[in-house]
Amino acid sequence: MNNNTLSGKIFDAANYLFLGLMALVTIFPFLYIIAGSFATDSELTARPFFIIPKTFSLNAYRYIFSTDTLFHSVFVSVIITGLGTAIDLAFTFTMAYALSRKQLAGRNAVLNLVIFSMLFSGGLIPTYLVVKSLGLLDSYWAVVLPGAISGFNLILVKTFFQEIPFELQESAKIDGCTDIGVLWRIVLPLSKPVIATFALFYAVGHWNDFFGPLIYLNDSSMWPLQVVLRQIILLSQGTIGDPNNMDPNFVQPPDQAIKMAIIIVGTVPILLVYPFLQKHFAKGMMIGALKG
Amino acid sequence: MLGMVNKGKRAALGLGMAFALTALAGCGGGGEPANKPGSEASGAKTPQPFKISVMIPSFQTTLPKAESSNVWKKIEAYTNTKLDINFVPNSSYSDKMNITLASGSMPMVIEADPKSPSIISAIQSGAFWEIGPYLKDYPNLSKANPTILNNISIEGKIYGIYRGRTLGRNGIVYRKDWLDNVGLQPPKTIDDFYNMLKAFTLDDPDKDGKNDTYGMVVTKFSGPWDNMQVWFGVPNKWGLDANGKLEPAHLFPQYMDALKFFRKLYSEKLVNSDFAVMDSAKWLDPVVNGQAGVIVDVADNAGRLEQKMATSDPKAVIDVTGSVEGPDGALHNLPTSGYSGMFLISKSSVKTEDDLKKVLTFLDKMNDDDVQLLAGYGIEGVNYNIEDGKLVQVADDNPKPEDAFTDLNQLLMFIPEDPTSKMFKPATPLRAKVSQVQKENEKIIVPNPAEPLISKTYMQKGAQLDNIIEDARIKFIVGQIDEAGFQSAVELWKKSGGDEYIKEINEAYAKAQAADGK
Repeated sequence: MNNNTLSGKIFDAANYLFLGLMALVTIFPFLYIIAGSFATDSELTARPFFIIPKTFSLNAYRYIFSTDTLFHSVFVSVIITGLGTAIDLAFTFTMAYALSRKQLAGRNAVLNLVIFSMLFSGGLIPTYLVVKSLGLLDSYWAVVLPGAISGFNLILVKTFFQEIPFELQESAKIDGCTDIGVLWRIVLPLSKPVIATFALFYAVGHWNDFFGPLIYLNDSSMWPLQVVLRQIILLSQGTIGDPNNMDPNFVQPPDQAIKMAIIIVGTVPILLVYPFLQKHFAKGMMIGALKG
Repeated sequence: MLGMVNKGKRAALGLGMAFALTALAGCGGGGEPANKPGSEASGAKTPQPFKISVMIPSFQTTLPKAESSNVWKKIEAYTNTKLDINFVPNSSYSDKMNITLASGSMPMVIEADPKSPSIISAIQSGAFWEIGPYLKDYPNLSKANPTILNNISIEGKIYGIYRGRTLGRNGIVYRKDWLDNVGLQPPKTIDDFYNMLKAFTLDDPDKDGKNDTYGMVVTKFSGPWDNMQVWFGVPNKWGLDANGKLEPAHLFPQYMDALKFFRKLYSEKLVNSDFAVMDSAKWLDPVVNGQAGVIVDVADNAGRLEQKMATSDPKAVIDVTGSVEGPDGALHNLPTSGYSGMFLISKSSVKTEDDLKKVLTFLDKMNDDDVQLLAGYGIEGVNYNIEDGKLVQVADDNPKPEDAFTDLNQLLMFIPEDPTSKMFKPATPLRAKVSQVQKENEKIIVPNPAEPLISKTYMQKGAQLDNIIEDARIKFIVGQIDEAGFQSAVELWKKSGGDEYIKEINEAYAKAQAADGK
């Protein structure tokens, strides 16, 4: 840490070098995907790795946006992510707040139930049966409701609420605030960084979720982006169709550049959310880390 | 992935000519209801449409829907059914199937791999109808291929209707122009094949003055080795030994001959040395880039390569052949299993024999030429046009929901055969040759006698057992172990359950033989 001594400088330099290398290692595959999505297919077969394509081509993007399937699925994903995150936050924060109040009767019993659910889950098939018998199949509720509260997040938020001085809440009460009022006017404004952090956690989770929609939604027009993405990426050439009798001009199944373009389309929107939350996010993580 | 021959292969798509199209347009072939939906409303003799629920895999992102797809409606009208199709993305099909099996609410017809453990145990617990005895009553289903029926049967009984695929699909695809450059004839024997690879590696087949080519591309997918060892007379997974007992392929003496040949190819650098780790998705790339000249895999790679080479190297000429003569002077070809999944009929949703017959009638009708065309290619004038007597699919950038049909071809079974092969003219001469090669392969295929037999040991430990031999084979090829090392791997295989596996397969075989004799 001391930059004035020689060994300190060497240590710092080594650190920067190491971290820089790590950053490069993680960022290069992503750059390759971006470059590949703008490259021609012949370049992708010929060159093993590049980050600037020789010929710049928008064909892959033209192809994937030639139907409205992708637009539609992005729209669906946005809905699921928005709705899901709102529900998750509402349920997690209200429950966490209630559990953070010491005067709540049966608090420990409820907490134990939550912890129990974190250790033992019902498993895929029982969950499916519950969703099915509740009549949620083929509706977006099946995707957003079953995982509405993450036990782990709930406990983190509860711990954070306990850190807020109880006297503050008491004084609000004396000024005539209801319980809901205390939560809404006093506690939540103080928890913006935490809200931002968990909003990001939940949103990324919903955005990336493909298994739930796959299992619960049978109608292809309800599929979110990730399911469509998976469907396209796993369609590798050679396993579809019998090209023996095929016309040479027949539209070929998606190739490398198209897959890469789709990955970009699937990743960029959720990446764009991050800068807006970044300020709060850093703060929120710190609050989680520095206890007592 | 290229080599995963049958799994997930979508129904054959083809383009071509007129016969069936006129049949469809003229409403021939007994397909009357298809073009006269009106008669159904007025006709008192038409019974109520029978409601059938089906679960099939999907490969598209926009799926046809009952209320909007015209092809769907035409199929319903033709078969007088009301179809409730549940399309499941193929990539997660087995997950969804296991959930469906467990949740107890099964569709009437379900597409499934008859060899997956969960399906075998569901069959053994009586979840599906045994339909073998009924097949003879149906005009199309009765003509099912006996080899494939044997392949899908479980303990000698047939529980489903297979979705047929090309049996003799494998072949050798090579650069004909390179072969001409080095002055060789197309290979007829294994020696010719070896000489071809050698010349492609050493004799500068691309005439650029540089030593930058090699013979054959192999990837981590084991298909090429399996294909080539059959040329040597090694059985397809299981064969009969001198005493009439079934033995696995690696216990036959020819297996070692084949392995030594592979080792020679590897040590002389006639194949790529990174084959054991090379991703099979990149299989075609070295050929497209002009680095390698031979691929031993499904013969229809030829058409795919021809198309790719058209942009990268228009001078390239691709050719294809089925097999080369082995040491015994005969031709052998490794077949595919001949099917891609089968349709099982659930006992819990199809309760009576009467309903079962209705479902079978539907499946039988799906094999009529008219419906096959409809489900495979759509409607003339909308999804395809006839130009110069050839079928040309309409490239539609923005398909309307009423035109969506592509995944309906998952309902096709191609029994007794895929009509498109005789109806349509292939797009290029090479593709015609591929079809011909695959047709001729059917005469020289080596069936696997143990395909329908079930071994409990294999269901439990099959993956480990296969791995032992697979590892030893690769190690032998790259020279990490010698013959004794391979033998000790075989011993390990036997001890790890191989002995029981052999015993169980032979017991099942004896039982099946006895049942046949009756």
